[in-house]
Amino acid sequence: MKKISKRVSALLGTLLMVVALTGCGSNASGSNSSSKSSTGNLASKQVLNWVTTAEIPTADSVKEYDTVSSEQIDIFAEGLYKINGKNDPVPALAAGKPQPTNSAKTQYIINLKKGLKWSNGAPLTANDFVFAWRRLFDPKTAAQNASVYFNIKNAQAISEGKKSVDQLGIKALSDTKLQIDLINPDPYFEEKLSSENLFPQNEKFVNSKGSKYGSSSADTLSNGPFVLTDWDGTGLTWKYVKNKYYWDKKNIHLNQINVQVLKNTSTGVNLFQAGKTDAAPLDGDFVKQFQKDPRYHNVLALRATNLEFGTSSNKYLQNENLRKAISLSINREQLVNNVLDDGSRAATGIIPKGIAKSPVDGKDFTEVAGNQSPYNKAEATQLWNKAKKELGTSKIAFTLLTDDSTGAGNVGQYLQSQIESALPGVTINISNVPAKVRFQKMMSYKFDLALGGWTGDFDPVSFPQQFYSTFEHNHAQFKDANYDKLIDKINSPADLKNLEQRWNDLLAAQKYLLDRAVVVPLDQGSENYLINPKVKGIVTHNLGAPFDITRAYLVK
Amino acid sequence: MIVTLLLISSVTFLLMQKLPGSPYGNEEKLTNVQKAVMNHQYGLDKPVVVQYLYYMVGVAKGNLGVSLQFGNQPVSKIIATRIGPSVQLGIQALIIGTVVGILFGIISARFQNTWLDTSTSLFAILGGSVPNFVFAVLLQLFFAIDLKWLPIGLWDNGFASSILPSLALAITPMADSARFIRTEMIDVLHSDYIELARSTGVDEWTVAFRYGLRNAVIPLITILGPMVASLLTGSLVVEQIFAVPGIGEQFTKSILSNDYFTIMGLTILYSTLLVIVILIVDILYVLIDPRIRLIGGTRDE
Repeated sequence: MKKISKRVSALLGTLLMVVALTGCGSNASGSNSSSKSSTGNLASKQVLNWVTTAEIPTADSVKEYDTVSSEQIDIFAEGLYKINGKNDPVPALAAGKPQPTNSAKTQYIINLKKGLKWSNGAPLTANDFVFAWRRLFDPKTAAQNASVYFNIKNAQAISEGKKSVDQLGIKALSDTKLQIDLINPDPYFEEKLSSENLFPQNEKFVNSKGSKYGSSSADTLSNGPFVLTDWDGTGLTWKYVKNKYYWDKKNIHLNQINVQVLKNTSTGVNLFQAGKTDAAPLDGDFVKQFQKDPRYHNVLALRATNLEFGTSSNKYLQNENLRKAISLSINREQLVNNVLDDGSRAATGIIPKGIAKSPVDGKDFTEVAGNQSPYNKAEATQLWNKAKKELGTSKIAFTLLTDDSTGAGNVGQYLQSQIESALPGVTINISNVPAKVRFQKMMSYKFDLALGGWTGDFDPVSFPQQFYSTFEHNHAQFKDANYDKLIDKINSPADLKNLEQRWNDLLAAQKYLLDRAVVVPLDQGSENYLINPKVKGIVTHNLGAPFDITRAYLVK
Repeated sequence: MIVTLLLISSVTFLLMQKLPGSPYGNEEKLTNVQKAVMNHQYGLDKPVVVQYLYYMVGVAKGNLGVSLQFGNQPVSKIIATRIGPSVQLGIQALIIGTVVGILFGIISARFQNTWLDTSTSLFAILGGSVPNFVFAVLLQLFFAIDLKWLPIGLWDNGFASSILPSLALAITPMADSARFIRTEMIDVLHSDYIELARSTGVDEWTVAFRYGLRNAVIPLITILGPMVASLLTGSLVVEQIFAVPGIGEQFTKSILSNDYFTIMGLTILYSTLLVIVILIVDILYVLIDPRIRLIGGTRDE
């Protein structure tokens, strides 16, 4: 058990690259202990003027599926575990690590802390988790993120209406004791338990609000460091005040957080520079402008952009040399530095940086795998010449589908120029369409080339798994029995219990795909912010919500 | 009126079915089974005709449905919470725009072919051709960032917060009214009855305002109708630049995200507004020019 939990925490580091946004200041780092020692330097007024980029779509934790909601819910609610400033999952509402009850590691007991309370003073019990989890998979709730947790026993069958919610693999053995049943062992179990969808909900409160639950501050119950207030459900501003019932309130320094939605980057930067807000989201040219500013912070997101092939519907793309030639013709460094220039990272494989760390030496997956998507124009031309002979043609035209946004349009044009110059005879016609149209075409599997993407959750396998033969989002319709076997192995109990073996299989899966140029990785997106240097103690994550501001404080 | 509204909502409902994709934000991760379950929850798996009837019966009962992108918030609530600032800005912009525009128009006509005329005309052309968000950014830069007289943005400073966005929105009505009034006034000021008024010794400003404007304003009233409707329903870009919690952005966003019920709710709102404004415009015609009559049925004259 100890060994496993050690491994889990090693892996955790992989999941979260936590960067203390405290800069190089000597008086503070992101961890709680040092924040206490610096209390003497605290500003007298502990009010943070925070910003975000969109309205809260929902404050109902089981329905949440987007970054804005998840970041906001983390401020006023909490689950069994959370990620701390030292990159580890630490018990939040849980009293300790999950205790496995069988050798297969598919059943766990989790004890809750004693005396937990909701922000209305009602006791928070194990039943509140059972209620929330059942609600998450109840088809009536229509929770969009439910499939992430289908490893919980019977979750999928319940969400598809084939079983009743009381058959879900979670039981309250007492007010403070939970028993959870999984289908397969899960090396990312604790991380998943830190996600908002698995937070508890107060049955009495939720039922009394009915469909209105989570649609305004009055219709939402808090159990986290802060209480949500002054939110009308659709507005551009809301507030948080300190929660007097929070179990760890002694480590909460802010008395109030005011949140403002800013959709116009330039206005955001102006307000920040005028001192009206303590942060400003950046994008595009503004990233370029502030990249060297000490107040600039960049957090890589687990959002991978790929050039996807409609291999099943285009016979030319079934030629491996042609696909490889296209991949080799793209200079990704130039793409991120000169075309995007927005803090994105050049992709080196399909698994992005920051999601997986080696169980052996703690190195990031991208570092161990090396650059498997290199740029080599000469070799691209050479492979194209080979492909021409194999295909018996010297002229091919492809349509490249991109979204109708400026950014996607620029990337499309860049790809067009790169491919056409390295592969003379190939013509790329760009088709800029609304995102929904592009996506619909990709899901019909009938397209040539498309600028697509994938955002990961907790387990790096979700990236290579896109190309599993029967996976619905396998846009290329790549069907390879050997590859399916490899993915099956990664998801088998044997690999799930042997993380070194699983690591090697993940490396093999990525190599298998890229050796055949099934897909062309392009870049990894990022979140970019300016933050007031007087605000300390903010923690950033690659996973889920990019910022944790709950333990932040202002210094003089 | 009711027929017009019924027609608009029916056509919109049918066209909306042709939007590609589903209304679910997390579409890129949903399986087909999940989508089917969710479609069933929202009644989207029923035939279009049945969906349409359900929806229209709901609307008749005052239920505009729920937003699919805003975690099931009722559409009526989205409208209620966000329409206020848009209407306030719209009315302020309309007043500033038409009053200043009419003044400019009269000055131009009164001093035709002088430097005054040229500069107001130039302003009108600029205002008509440069999009209002460019003015928004310039106003923000000048009055808020350089001079620090007014807030940069946000909706937390009462009337002061509304000045710059109103000015930015006022540019288009200002330019339009100035151009229309100028052209009409030049015509009117050369007509016989004005010459008559002048010959009786009435001073030039009285002529312009009392006798000229009344006739010159009719064409302006015609274009004001649609302008009012579009001003009251907000502006996507201006609201974003000044971080105003208005409704302008919701329509665009709902279409991009296939938020069916929000699209319908806002379409009904917009068209109702437009129909009402057109009715008011018709009444205004009569008030301004008694020669125009609202006639019910045919009449032998």
